Amino acid sequence: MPTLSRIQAEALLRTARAGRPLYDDLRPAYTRLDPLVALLRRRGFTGLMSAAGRPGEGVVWFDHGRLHSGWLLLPEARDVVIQREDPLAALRALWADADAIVAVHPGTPPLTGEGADAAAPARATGPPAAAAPAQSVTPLAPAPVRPAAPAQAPRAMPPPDGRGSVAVSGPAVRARGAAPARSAAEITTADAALAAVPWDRLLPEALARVRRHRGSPLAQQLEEAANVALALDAAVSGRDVLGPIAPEKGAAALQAIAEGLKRVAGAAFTERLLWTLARDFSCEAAVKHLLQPFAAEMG
Amino acid sequence: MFPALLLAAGLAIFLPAPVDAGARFVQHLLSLSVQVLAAATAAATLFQAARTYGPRDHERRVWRLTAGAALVWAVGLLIYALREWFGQTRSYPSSADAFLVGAFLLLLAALADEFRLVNPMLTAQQRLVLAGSGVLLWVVVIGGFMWPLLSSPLDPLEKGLDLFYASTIALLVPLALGPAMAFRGGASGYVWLGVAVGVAGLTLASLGFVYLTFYELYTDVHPLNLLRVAGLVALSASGAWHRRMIEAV
Repeated sequence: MPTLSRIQAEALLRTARAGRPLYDDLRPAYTRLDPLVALLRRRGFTGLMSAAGRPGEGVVWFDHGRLHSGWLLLPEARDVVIQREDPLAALRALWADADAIVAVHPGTPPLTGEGADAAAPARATGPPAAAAPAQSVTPLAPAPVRPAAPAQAPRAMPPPDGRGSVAVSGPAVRARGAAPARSAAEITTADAALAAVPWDRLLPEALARVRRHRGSPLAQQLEEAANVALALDAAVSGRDVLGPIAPEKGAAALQAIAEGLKRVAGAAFTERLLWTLARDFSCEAAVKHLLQPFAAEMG
Repeated sequence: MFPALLLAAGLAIFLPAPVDAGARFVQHLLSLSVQVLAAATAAATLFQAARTYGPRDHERRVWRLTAGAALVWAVGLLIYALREWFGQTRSYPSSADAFLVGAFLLLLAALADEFRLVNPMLTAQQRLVLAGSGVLLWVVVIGGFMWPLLSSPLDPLEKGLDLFYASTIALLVPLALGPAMAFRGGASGYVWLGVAVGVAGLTLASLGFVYLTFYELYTDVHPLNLLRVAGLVALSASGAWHRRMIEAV
């Protein structure tokens, strides 16, 4: 059975847990393992599910819904047991402990096979965004979906004010069904504009404005639509954002809000609302894509 | 501002009762003028509210239909006023009622259209409450007030009009309250509450009109007309508020 040094494993886990968890502080006493795994697999989740308790710590890595590998970190052991045949075995032992704490974090699974050990130190030293493959940015509809960036392509850096800082990179945030890698040169200005949008502030503000103008029931419906678009990496709840919002998912969520609002309040109102948001968050370039269908409708 | 002035004028005209004939004539003239002006103002502000929407927007049609209703109302009231000024003896039913019925039908179309839009945002319980309140209103109005009129030997046209005007409150008020419920918590909710108040004023005024006319108690300077002016002012204010709300986004 292959092993990984505990230091390397903990460094990898620390990196993956740097972002906001998707689920946190779950307990085996009221969370069943198999349905949770089934949900994550169905949603094409990429990241890790971990459980920490008296027997040690168990970790299962997911890669686009597939079970990647399982780690068992036993107390006092210097190496980590890697379970590839039955990754869930690492968690089952922990699930017997009713007081174990379970968490789910989006993140990039370690490289498969022998490369895992070698890659670990390099990944562990950098921040999550640097460690992961470059951001896969999908342009907003109706523009065609472009391929995702390759592993080492440079990514658009967020501005110093923190905009785009919540954007998680790598396969964890790549839209399901997205085409394979593209060259770094293909990362366009529009992609950078999307990456610079502070989605974690813009989406709650968009919903707050909908609520202010069209009331709570519509805002609630649009929040649900946005969360469907964000699944499974993040969720919006009122003013709070749980989990990191990738640029393409943020754009899809804003588009879901815009489409829902357009159905009720019309294209003109929606366009006006989006422009004010774009102005207030200095993201006119990104919102411009969203407005193309509205402009056509407005004639 | 103008709707508020109209409401103030209505208060000044309909509430005091001048004793000399000259003053009564002026009051008579002003009461009809204020009603026509209130309807025309409502039409103008509602058309302006409709213009804040795009050409294919659902709500543009809703506000245009509401504005059309106010405009047809203005025409109906003007015809009624002209008939009164030119000394026509039979004021009800008259050719003006064709327009007033048309205005109610346009309003019904507008509110039904808006209700269809907001229907997915209402819970089954809210729909039930609205439908129940409509049925209850209809039973109270027909059973409590209109039954003596409907069971009397009136000509079928007048009886039909009585039934129509009496039923509008039961139909239109719940339909107008639907969007107010669906948009609750938002500025649009208050706008639609204003529309519901306006519709309630108009339908109550029409109900009172047929009731008082039957008992020959209605005059053009009856305080009941203040309800109609208030209803039209509420529609006007709702339209203006809606436009301002959208422009302020």
